[in-house]
Amino acid sequence: MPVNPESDDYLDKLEAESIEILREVAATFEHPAVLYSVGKDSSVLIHLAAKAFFPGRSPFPLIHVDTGFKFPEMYEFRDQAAKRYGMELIVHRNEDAIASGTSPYKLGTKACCGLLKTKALLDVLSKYQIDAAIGGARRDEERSRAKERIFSFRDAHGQWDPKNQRPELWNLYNGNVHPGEHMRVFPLSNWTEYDIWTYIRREKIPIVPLYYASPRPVIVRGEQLIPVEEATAIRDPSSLETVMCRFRTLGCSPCTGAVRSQAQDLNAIIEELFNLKVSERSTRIIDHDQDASMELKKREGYF
Amino acid sequence: MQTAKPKTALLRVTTAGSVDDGKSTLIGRLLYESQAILDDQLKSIERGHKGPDLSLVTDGLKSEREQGITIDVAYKYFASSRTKFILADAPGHLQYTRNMVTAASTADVGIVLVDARHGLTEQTRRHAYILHLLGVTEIILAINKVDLIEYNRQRIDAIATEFKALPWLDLAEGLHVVPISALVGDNVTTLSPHMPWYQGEALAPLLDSIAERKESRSSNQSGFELPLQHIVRSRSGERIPLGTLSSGSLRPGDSVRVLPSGTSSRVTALWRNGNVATLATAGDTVALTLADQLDLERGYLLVHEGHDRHPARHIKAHLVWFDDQSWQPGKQYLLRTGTQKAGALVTGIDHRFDLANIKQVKSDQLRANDIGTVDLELTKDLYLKPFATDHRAGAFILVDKESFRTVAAGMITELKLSSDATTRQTDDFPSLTTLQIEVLNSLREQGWEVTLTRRPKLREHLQSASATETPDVSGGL
Repeated sequence: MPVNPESDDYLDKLEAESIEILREVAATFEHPAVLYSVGKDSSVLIHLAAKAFFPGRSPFPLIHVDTGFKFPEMYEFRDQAAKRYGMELIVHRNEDAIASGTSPYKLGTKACCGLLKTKALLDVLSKYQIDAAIGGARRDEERSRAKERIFSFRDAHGQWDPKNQRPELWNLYNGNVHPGEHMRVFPLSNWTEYDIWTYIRREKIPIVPLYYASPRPVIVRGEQLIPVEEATAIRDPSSLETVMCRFRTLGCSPCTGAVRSQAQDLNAIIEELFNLKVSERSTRIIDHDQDASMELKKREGYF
Repeated sequence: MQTAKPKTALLRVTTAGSVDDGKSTLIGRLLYESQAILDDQLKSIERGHKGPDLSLVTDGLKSEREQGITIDVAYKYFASSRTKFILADAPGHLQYTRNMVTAASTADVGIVLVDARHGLTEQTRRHAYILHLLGVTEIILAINKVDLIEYNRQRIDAIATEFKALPWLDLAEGLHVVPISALVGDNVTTLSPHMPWYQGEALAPLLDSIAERKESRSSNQSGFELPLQHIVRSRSGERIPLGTLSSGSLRPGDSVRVLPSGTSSRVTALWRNGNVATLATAGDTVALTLADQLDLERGYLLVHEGHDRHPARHIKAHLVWFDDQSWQPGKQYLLRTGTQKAGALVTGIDHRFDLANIKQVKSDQLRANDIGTVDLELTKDLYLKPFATDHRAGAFILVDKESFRTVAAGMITELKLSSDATTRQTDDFPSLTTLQIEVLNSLREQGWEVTLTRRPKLREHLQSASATETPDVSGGL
């Protein structure tokens, strides 16, 4: 089991680093926005955005790039969260692609992500002339993300050039961009999955109930538990089982697996992290569609 | 249900060394021993009956795996029961010096790896020099692959002696030498039975001890400094200055002075990391309200009343040039430091540092990966300090005004206070140093009447104060 710190006071330092980054974005960009994915990292991010400007208000609107395939609990939670923090919510969907029936079943995960996420994201950034898109990605999630700067430059096509990143020294962030270019900003870069959960517990941050274990109907395919939503095409109803499980990360329902778990509260989830044997994004089917999958998606503009 | 637990430190570590020195294996070993590598990741680096190839853990980009080299910094995370570690794994090639500098800039500790069979190389010296230049005060010389030299003590001592003799390395307390084998695990997490003569700690416990020492080093600076980062309005319309406290401590009720405007007020309420607080210390993010509605903007500096600061417009600095487009004489760049910015002109190059031979050479140009000592002239007054006394107030980057690329990073070695500040105080005493002027101003502001005389006693006293406290401040005008 992974070794973890015995107390959580070091979280103050991570918190301060993130708050300083959020303030820097507010001070140096004209149209910054938070890319809100409704997941646990996003929940921490908007909590920090509220703390960073208190007793003033966070100046960032929330942008949710909606594929139409999110879990129903996520939509409900999203609308409540925006209200709770008093932040403006912009929902953007690639309506043309959704109307033409784009789905991972029809096109495969790669093309589906390209249309419903990457294309939709780049469209909404250009529609609102967003020059800083703040995201909750962390370096410990995945190996190409481990290489990313905190202020990560994107060219006019939204592309990332990992071999030619701007040097980033001390706490001096170079946010200068030309019209059409933008910055992705990652205030949670140095947080681990464990840090996120202990911080959620400490700050009592609300999260989508899908993170807690509950009996759910799933299709068991080897190690993967595939949640059954209305959108899922069930070929063989006899493979359906009700399993006590939870979600470790949240994405689109057809492409996010659940894990067997009894953890019904935060203490149990954190306890469970000590015993986990596989990495966080192993349940994200889209990360495994080819070698260096995330890196390739990111180069094209994906989150 | 929370019980009292020991404090947990946060330590930023950077590793330097070439792939051949076993750097990746060492990082893999540290992560593996702290159980930070999970089963699915271990499985992906499993190499038949030999077990996992730990050197593959840090592989990041596709092109890096294809070429077998590290291009950019990869950040890795692991923990002990006492410390959370942020490990920046930096590339070793000269061509990617800018990425190594990126990693070193935030590091508390630098691990310099050498292969025991080969001893110090050009690359070792370069890495150690960059750590030194970036003000990393704890350096661990990890002499790796000692199993391949039969744990030969004479050989290990000889390498350590050669390293300690590097002329610019001045780290009495902060230099640690650990003979290790990352592959076998000698002296990585536990002491090796093969080197009973070794008196120090194994590498992982040593990192814990360094973290603990850093944590207990309390800042005893009097007076605070708060560079204003941003101003927001509260729900009731009050202006709320925001910033990160760069030194000292701040409490509600403290008297503050706003620079450069010179106005004064009092702190009426304080928030630390978003929570109401009665105390904030260096490194905390704060928001506050003042008793008076003053003119405040980003780049202004709030200081404790009585701790006035003087701005500077001419500085001398070590400059690391990053950009493929070399320095253009006469070109104005954008300088960013803390929350301040100004146009900057490099007016002269004292010398360039030859990294291959670690010596100063005459030069009139700066190309990618060059390090030089230069004079800069700013387009406006900024509040700065020598890098050696304050990393935050003494570091800057230069940005190209057309391409917007970060073309260089600088560390201030000397600064000349701007004329109005100095002439006012030094009409009769042109030899006073900046520190002496600050001391005088501060005494006067606290209500003391100070009369300067040419009696040797006072002069000696001021000179010895300046010699012990800020040896890097130049002698004013």
